[in-house]
Amino acid sequence: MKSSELLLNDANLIAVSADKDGQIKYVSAAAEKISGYKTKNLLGDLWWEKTYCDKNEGLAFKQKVIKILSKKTSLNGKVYERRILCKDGSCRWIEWRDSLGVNNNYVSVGVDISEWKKKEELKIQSEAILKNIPSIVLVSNKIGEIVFASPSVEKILGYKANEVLGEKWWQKTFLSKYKAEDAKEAISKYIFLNKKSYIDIFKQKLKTKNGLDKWIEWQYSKGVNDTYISIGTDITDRILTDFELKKAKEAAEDSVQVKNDFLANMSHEIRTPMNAVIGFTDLLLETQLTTEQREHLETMRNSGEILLTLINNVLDLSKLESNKFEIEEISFNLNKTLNEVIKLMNVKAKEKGISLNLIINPNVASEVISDPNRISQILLNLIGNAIKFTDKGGVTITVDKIEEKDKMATISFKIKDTGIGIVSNKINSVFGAFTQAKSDTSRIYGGTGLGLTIVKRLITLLNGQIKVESIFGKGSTFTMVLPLKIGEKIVRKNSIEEEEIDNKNLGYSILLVEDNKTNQLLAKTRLERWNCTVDIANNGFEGVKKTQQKVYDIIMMDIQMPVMDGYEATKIIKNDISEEVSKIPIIAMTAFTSKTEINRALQSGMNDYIFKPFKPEELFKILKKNGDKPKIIKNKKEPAMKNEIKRSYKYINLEFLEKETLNEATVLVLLIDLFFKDLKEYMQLLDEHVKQQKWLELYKATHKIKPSISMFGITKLEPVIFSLEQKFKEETDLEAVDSLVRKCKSMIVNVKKELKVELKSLKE
Amino acid sequence: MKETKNIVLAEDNTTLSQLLKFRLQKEGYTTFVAQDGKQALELIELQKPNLILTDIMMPFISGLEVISHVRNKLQLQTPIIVFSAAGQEEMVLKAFNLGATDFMAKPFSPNELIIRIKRILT
Repeated sequence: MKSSELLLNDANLIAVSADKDGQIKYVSAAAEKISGYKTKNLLGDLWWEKTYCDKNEGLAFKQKVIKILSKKTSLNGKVYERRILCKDGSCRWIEWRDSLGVNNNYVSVGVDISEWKKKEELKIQSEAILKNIPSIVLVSNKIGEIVFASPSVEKILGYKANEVLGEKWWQKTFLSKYKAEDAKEAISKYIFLNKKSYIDIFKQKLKTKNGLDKWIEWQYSKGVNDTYISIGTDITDRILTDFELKKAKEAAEDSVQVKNDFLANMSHEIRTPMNAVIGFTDLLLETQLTTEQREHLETMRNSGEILLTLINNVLDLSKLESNKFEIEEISFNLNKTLNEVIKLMNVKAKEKGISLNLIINPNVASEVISDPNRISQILLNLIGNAIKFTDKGGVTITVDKIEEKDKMATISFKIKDTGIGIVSNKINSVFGAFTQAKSDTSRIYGGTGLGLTIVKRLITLLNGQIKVESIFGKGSTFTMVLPLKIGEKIVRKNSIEEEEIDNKNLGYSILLVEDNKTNQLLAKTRLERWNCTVDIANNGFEGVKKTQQKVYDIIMMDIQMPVMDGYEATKIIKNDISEEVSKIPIIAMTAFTSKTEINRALQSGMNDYIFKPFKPEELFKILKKNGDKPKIIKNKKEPAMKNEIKRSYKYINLEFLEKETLNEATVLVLLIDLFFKDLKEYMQLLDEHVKQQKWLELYKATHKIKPSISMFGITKLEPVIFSLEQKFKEETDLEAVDSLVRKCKSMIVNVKKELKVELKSLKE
Repeated sequence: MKETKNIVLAEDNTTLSQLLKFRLQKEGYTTFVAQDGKQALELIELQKPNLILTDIMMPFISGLEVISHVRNKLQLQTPIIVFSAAGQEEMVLKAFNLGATDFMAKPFSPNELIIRIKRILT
C-alpha cells in the first residue's frame, strides 16, 4: 500500500475511492497538491460538495456511485473529462478513469490535463485564425517541402491545402520549373544562410489553379526544427493598379516626346530635299531662260523658301516645347542688326507698295549683349506679320529706352501697322499655337499661325514681354520690351565687302566630303560654276584618304556621315597627315543649328561652318573668306603613312599588337581574324547563356576573352568586361547584367567595324 | 648542331596563344598550342617538351591539374611557367606548391616572357 501510494504521488495522479454509501474513504496526496484542499478535508461527503463546480452535479454523481456499487447499474469504463474546483476558486481539467476496487470500492483515478487542455484550446484558436486570415501561411522543412499549408491557399490560388503539400507547391504554383527551383534555393539561402540573391523572393508571380496570375508578397521567418514559415499576401490588385498607372504615365510622356521627336525629325528630313529643290532652282535661274520660264522658276523658288520658313518654324516650336532651345549671350551692334532686318523686310514692303520706317531713339545703346539671332528672328516675324496684314499705309518700328540701371537697359520695340487689325475678343488668343485672329484670315493672308507663338516663347526666353493693342480695321501695335545688357563699345573691322553676284570666279581645288548624293551633285555643280575643281568623298574615311593624295585649297565637310563622321575625319586631317595638310581650312556643313554642335565642330579643328541649306551668297562669302588666305605652297609629297590613320580609331588601339607582332601585317591579320571568331562566339554565348542564367559558363567565357580585349587596346570595353566577369563569378548584382551586356554588344559592333577597316588597309 | 627546343603552350585565349606562338617561333622555339588542359596533357606526353607554359583557368582540365599530372603521374621535372589573372593569387601559390617553376601575371609583356624562357632554357 505504501509503495503504491508513493507511485500515485510521483505520477501526480489523483486517486479517490468511495464505499457503498458513496462516502469518500481515500484521497491520494496528489489531490491535495492539485486542488489545494488538505486530503482530510475531502473525505466523506466533502469531496462531492467541494470539488464539483456545480454542487448538485457532485451529489448526483454520488448517487450514481451508490447505484453502481449496489449493482443497480453497471460501470461505464470510458475515460471522461471533468473539471475540479480548487480551493483558490480556479478550475483544473482532469481526465478520469473509473473502476471497481477489490473491496467493492468505487475508485476514480484522475490525471491533471489542464496544461494540455490549454494548449489544445490555443491550437484550436490558432487553427481558427489560420482558417480565417486572408494570407497564405506555409510551413516548409529544410529542403523546401511544404509541411503545412493554411486553408486560405484555396481562396487565393484555388488549390486545396493538401494539394500543395510537399513538392506539389513548387510544381503547381510556379510559372516554370526553373523559377521554382531558383526561388526555393533563394528562400532557403535567405532563411538559413542570411544570404540575399538576385531573385526577388519577397514578391512572386504565381499561377492559380485556373491558370491566372497572382502577385504574392511574402514574409519569411524561421520556424522550429529547421522549418521556415512563409506568409503570403495577395497584392495582385495593387500591382495591377501600379502597373496601369505606370503604363498610363509612360504613354502620356511618350506621346509628348513622340510628337516633339516627330516634328523635329520631319522638319529635318524635309529640309534636306528642300535644299536640293531651292539649290537647283537657283542653278537653273542662272542659265539662259525665256521670261516665262524665269517667272515660273522664281515662283518655284519663292514657294520653296516659304515652305522652308514654315519648316523652320515647326522645328523651332518643337525645340521650344521640348526646352532644347539655346540662347546665346554675345556682344553685338543693335543698330546694325535692326538695319539688317529692315533691309530684308524692305523688299516685301516694296512689293506691297507700303512704307517701312525705323526710328531709333539716340538714347538706345548700340552695343548690347544678348542673342542677336533670336532678336532678329522675333523682329522678322513681327515685321513680316505687320507687312502681311497691311495693304495701305505702312509699318513703323520705334526703338526706345525705357530705363537703364546697373549696365542693364530696358528697351522697347514698337511695331505699328495700319493693317486690318485684330477683333477685340480675339486679341488674347493671337499668341496661341495655330490660331490666327480670324480663322478665315489664313485663307486670305496665308501662314501657319505659328509665328507669334514662337515670338512669344522666344521673348520669354530672353526675359522680355510682349503686348498687343489693336483697333479693328485701323491697325495693330505690337510692343516688345527686352532687358539688354549694355556692352563695351568695340571698334569693328569692316566686314568683307560684298562681291558682285556676277563674275564669281574662285578657282579653288575643293574636297567635298558628303554622303548624300543629291547634296554632292548640288554643291559640285554650284562650285564648278565658280570655276572650282571638286573631288568627292562619300564619308570621313574616304575624305582622309583623299587628303593623303592631294593638297586641296578648301575641304567642305559634312558632320553626320557613315563609317567616319566629320569630327573624326577633321581630327585626323588636322593632326595626323602632314603639316601642310593640317593647314587646309575645313568648313563644316551642318544641318544642326545648335551651339553645342558648332562648338564641337570648331573644337575638332574645323575652321568655319555653314548651315545647310546654304544660300549661294553665303557659300561664296565663306569660301572667299577661307580660301583667300595665303595660298599654301604645294609640294607634292608621298602620301602619308597608313599607320597614321590607325591612331584615330575610337575603340581599338593596335599599338601593342603592332609592336608585338613586330609589324608583320600577316600575323596581325591572323590575330584579327581569330579575334573576330572569338567575338562572334562570345556574342552568341552572351545571348544564349544569359537567358538560361548559366553564370559559370558566362564567367569562363568572359574570363577567356578578357586578355584579347586588352591586347586590342579596347579600353572602353575593359571596365564593362571586367565588371561582367566579376558579376558572373560571384553571381551578385545580376540585375545590372542586362544593361552591361547591351553596352558590351554595342561596343563590339563598333570594334568590329574598326577592325574591318584595319583589315582592309592591312590587306591592301 | 643546336637542337630546337619544344614548348607546349596551353592557353584558351586564341589571340594570346597565337601571338605567343608567333613570338616563340621567332625566337627559334617549336611551339605546340593546346586550347585546354586535356589537349595540353596529350601534347606533353607526345612531344616531351623542354618547357610548359600554361594558363591557370582552362576548360576541362585546369592548369593546376596539368602541373599535378606532369609532376606526379608523369614524374617529369620539365620547367612549367603558369599564367595567372588578377584575383588568382591563391592559385599561384597552389601552383608553386604543386611544382610550378615560375609565373607570369596577365596582362604581361611577351618580351618579358621570352626573357624568362631564355633564362630557364639555357
